[in-house]
Amino acid sequence: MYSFYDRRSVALYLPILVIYTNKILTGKYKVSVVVIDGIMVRHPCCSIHNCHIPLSSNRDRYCKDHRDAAGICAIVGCSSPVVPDSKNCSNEDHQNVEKTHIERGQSRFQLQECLSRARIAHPNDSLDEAVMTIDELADVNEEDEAFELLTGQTTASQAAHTSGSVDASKKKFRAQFGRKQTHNEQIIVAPCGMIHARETFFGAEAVSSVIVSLSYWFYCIILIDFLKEIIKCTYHMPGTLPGHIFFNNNCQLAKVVQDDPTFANVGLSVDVFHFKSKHKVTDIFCQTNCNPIDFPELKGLGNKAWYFNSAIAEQTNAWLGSYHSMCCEMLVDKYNFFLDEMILRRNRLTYNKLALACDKPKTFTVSV
Amino acid sequence: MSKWLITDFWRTECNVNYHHNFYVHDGKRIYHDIGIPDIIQVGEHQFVERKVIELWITSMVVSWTSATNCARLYNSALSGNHKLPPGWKFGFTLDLDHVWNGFMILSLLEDLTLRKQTLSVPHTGLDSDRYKAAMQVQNRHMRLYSQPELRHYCNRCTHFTTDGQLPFIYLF
Repeated sequence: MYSFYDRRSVALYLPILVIYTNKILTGKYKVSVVVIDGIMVRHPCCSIHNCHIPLSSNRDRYCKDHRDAAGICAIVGCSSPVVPDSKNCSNEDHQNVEKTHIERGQSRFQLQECLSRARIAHPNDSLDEAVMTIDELADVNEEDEAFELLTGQTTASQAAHTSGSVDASKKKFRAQFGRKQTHNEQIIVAPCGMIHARETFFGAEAVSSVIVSLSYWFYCIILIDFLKEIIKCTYHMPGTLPGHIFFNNNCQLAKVVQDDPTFANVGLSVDVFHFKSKHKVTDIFCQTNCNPIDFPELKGLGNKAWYFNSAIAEQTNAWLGSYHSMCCEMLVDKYNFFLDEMILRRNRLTYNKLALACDKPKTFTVSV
Repeated sequence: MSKWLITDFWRTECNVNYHHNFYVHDGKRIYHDIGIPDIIQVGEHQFVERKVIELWITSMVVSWTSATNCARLYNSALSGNHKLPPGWKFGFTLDLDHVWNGFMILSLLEDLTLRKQTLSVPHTGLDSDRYKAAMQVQNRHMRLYSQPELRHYCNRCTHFTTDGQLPFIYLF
């Protein structure tokens, strides 16, 4: 079984334009399905918005092209140069913000320790986790932080966390002390568990700082256009584009690709569970275009309600998401290589499992 | 599991230094084109059986084992109670860098062997930077062609029918 897989892969790696034919299947019609989902596995990246240049070291906040930005005050909107041994300029309020940040880092560390003991199942080191300096711990925080300082009072203890009540006597700051991290990973997975592709989404922070209250669900909307390109790039070879794509925010994707000929024959629907629980009945476009019941090819045979297991991405995410603690400190090359290797090897295990379960795993053969 | 091999000899006439898995020429380690070796050099004096590296990688895939824990798995369960020969100053203990080196070398060799290419990495510099360029090539390839299973189909992910009424794609 395994050696067969290896031989087949040789053909699959050939970088040539191929046409997909399969003599056995001549005269038949097919629909293949994939599910797309996001997952919170991240790696550190340059703190400049949407910069894809890799960091030289995991201690860095900026890539080599934006290194000069480290000499600018960490307060958002302030462009004064920093004072030595500090990430802020000489402004007294800004200095207090940094003091608060360091104190917050210490208390956060204690809380995080409680949380990780209670929840994290896969520590990097089963015996002891090496802890470095407080500064590095504080830098674990990747997003920009909100601070409020009472006017006229300058002690650090009086700098408070942002609370719900907005007081006119408080000054508000946003600061970026730590490294940023990428936004998430999107995976494209077939209902049998084969992972087709993985793509890192870098941040959309500029938009998010405006609409802070929006949840992750709406975050995806910003990235839809990017997702469209990813689908087109992944399935750029003719014949590979699946007939149906499940994505939990397909109503947005369907609007974006309405006029795109590539997607003319691709069904876009929302996975059954998400459609029932998360999509508004009042959204007419969504209800008329993304309801999985409208797609006859998805209907199951016999007593089965659905032909395909559209919840597969959540199941696969549980597997991939567990790598978070292993990958969060990797540099980008190793991170990508590691995750792709893990996926490659898991696909081999999936292949063996499908072969044993008589699901007839095959590959569209290539003819040059 | 760690084995000692006489690995290092020098051919003065062609300036090539031969090792067990690779030869060094012009500051580059060029791995032998003999498929995937059964014993892989993961450190200056550490050689590990391919099976052990496969065990590490499989633990990473099925149970999210970190490299540190893989090293610990080896040190406590697999290394056995070998006694050091007299005068031998290197221990049998492996650490996470050995695990990562084993992971990189085996994965890169497997991928490149499939593509009929030779693995070549710098001989000088830090261990952590050694495989960077080779990984970048592999990552670019993966981005361009995605996983090989992109062209997979089976009963669970593809629905075949002879009924052309449904919006199915016709296979020519």
